Amino acid sequence: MVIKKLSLLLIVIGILLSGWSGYEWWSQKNAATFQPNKAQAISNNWKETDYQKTVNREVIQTSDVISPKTPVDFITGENIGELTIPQLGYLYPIYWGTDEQTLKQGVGMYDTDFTTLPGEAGHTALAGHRDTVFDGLDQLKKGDRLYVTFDQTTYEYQIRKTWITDEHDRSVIVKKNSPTLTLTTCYPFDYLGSAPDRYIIEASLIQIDDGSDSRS
Amino acid sequence: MKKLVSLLATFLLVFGFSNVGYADDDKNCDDFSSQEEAQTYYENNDPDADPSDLDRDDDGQACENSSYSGASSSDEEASSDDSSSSDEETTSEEDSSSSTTEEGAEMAETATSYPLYMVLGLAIAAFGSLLLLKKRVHS
Repeated sequence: MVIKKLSLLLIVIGILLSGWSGYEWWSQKNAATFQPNKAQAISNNWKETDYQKTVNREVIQTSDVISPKTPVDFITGENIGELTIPQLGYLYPIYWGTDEQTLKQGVGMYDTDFTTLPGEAGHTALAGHRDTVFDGLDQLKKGDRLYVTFDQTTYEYQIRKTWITDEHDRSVIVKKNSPTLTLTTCYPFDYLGSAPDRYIIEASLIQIDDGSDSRS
Repeated sequence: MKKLVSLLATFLLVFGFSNVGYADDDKNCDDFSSQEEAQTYYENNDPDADPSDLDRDDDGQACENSSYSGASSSDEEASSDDSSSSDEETTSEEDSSSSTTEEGAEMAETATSYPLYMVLGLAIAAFGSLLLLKKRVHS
């Protein structure tokens, strides 16, 4: 009788645990929207993987299309933009900060002394969970394009390189003088439990589009 | 037997050479004896793309944080010439400056435990039903 009760209790606990984590996983995974048509409509030449020159830092600083916003304008967890990866057909909401609560909502933008907003022509870095939003990020290759929409401006980046590093590597989130976008997620992708490594995608800014062509 | 050994030797030879070829293609900071040498290589090999990844922080300076065997030996020579105390001071200064340039932020925790919990939950439920089944068989 005791064993029967115990086994029933175990079954209930097991199903509840699976159900709860399955639900959390599913809902967090759905933070990224899979809409290939919409994702690929962001640019006509998203498929081109030929090398494009990095936009000069001075050009950005003197142009008037960039956002006047600074990091102090945002509070942690606030939705600040959108990341589009046409190659995967996904659109991801970007939130300010990379703490646990923020990363549950979607992709987080690093808020550090070393990183900047896209319009500041420095190092912009994004983080996302490998098993929810950034699932499948390992399919991206050198030359693929990434688009960050921030304050009515679309920043177009091209992947320069990808690599795997240790979780404690402090040479990734550093100051950069050329406009760079870095995506970080955990590695290995298919691995139960915590991850000892990080998968890094580094891209350079190749174009800025403030949408003025479509307005006129 | 001899054939096997020679086959193995050929295999090792080919494998070893291909490895050397690879190392030659993709340079690391350790492959250079000085920063100048690394910088020259970096500038002559598509600095924008930096295929060998010699300039991690993209400031146009290749391998500026790497320590070189050539540089350290010259330090040792200097120490034999100078008084040892002044040498210690300069090296400690160099160390602190290089550590500040290397310093960056810690990366975010980007793995959830949900898949693990799902498997764990299923395992617990399976264990429970096994227990229940066993009990029924016995009674």
